[in-house]
Amino acid sequence: MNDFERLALRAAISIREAMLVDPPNQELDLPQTDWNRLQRLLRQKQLAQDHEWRMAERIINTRLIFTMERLATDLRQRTRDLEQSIKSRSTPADLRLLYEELIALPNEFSEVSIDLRHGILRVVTEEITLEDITLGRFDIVYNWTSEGPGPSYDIHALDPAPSNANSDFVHPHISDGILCEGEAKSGIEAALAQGRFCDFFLIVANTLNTYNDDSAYVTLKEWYGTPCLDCGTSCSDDDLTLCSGCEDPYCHQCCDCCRNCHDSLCGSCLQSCEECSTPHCRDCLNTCNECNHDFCSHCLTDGYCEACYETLSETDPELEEEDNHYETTNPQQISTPPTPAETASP
Amino acid sequence: MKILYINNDGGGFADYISIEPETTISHFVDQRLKHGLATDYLIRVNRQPVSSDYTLQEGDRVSLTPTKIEGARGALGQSHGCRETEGDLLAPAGR
Ligand SMILES: [Zn+2]
Ligand SMILES: [Zn+2]
Ligand SMILES: [Zn+2]
Ligand SMILES: [Zn+2]
Ligand SMILES: [Zn+2]
Repeated sequence: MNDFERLALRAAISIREAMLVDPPNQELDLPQTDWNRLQRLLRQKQLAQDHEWRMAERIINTRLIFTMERLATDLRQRTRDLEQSIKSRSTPADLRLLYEELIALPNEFSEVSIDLRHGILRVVTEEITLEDITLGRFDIVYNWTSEGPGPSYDIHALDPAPSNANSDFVHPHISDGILCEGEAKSGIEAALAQGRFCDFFLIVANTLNTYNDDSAYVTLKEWYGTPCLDCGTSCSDDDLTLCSGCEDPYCHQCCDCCRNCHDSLCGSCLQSCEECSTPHCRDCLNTCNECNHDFCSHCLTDGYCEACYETLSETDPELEEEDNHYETTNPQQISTPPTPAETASP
Repeated sequence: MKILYINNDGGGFADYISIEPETTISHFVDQRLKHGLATDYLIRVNRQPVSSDYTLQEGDRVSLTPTKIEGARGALGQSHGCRETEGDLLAPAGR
């Protein structure tokens, strides 16, 4: 007997002891609420019949059938639970079976460890890759002393590669270290109840190795988040901005806002005023009536850029006069962006 | 002759069953998996991999574990488990 086998034997003895301990006396409660509801409905039905309230009787009948069916389902589930708890108590796992299960683990997993003091069995999966996305190895940790509700095992990523879309998830079917078992649920329960630990770890590992698109916390399609169309960085939805010009997604770094209307825009949709160079959206820039270049409202005077305005006012004194008139009587007018009617588009 | 047969698919199945003598493991698996492919299962005899022409012996422990088992998310997990299950939900493995 080598060291591992000796340890496995001691663990098997400890596991068997833990399995023999009666589970904390679960109180067998009955579905009282539905039962009371049925009795109430029966009284109502009687009343409706006495008064010949046909409509009411029909509604009550529907409710009676619904509640009876729910009660029947509930009772069937309770029956199964009770049967299972009696079965698992009356057939304690065989010590040889437990031992053989434990010493078989190194044949299936490259890393297996037994922690006698804390009652922990631990195996490491191979590197898991789902649909070309590498999720790394996982630690499956079973605690044979764990009591109370909830699973007696948890799973940790050893080389965590969380989703970019939501960094809380290291696997599409794990949340907070708990595997959402899906199809594996009853297989896991049966294997654990019978002390088939090797089967248990294999079922869990094979579930980790399978991807179910219909029911993932984060689908693999969205695993890396959405790439910024400019720099390519994958971002979660919170880190993305839709450019209000082209409506494509960009990261915060690749967006800037229009200094006039404050809309977020990507690099290609953002334009600069040719005079002051501040970034603006297409709508907040206007074309100079003379040179057809684009300027912000602050850099246009009566629809002309500074340079054109100067040139024109030299040749057309009326323009200057008009402008002076505005400046002296209505200074606000100058900073107001010209309406489209005032500017001639090319 | 009798062997212990464990199928970890769906609800799980574990019990002693009778088989014809001289049955090879591949023949046995094909018989049991009416709708499945042997390649979709991890097949072990007495917890060891064996070649497909291995002839089953009295008392052998044969286990089949699907290589692909679909997990779920939260409440959805409860309604899953739609694979075909074989026989009793919780037959005891040992005696
Ligand atoms: Zn970017
Ligand atoms: Zn854009
Ligand atoms: Zn703007
Ligand atoms: Zn400007
Ligand atoms: Zn101009």
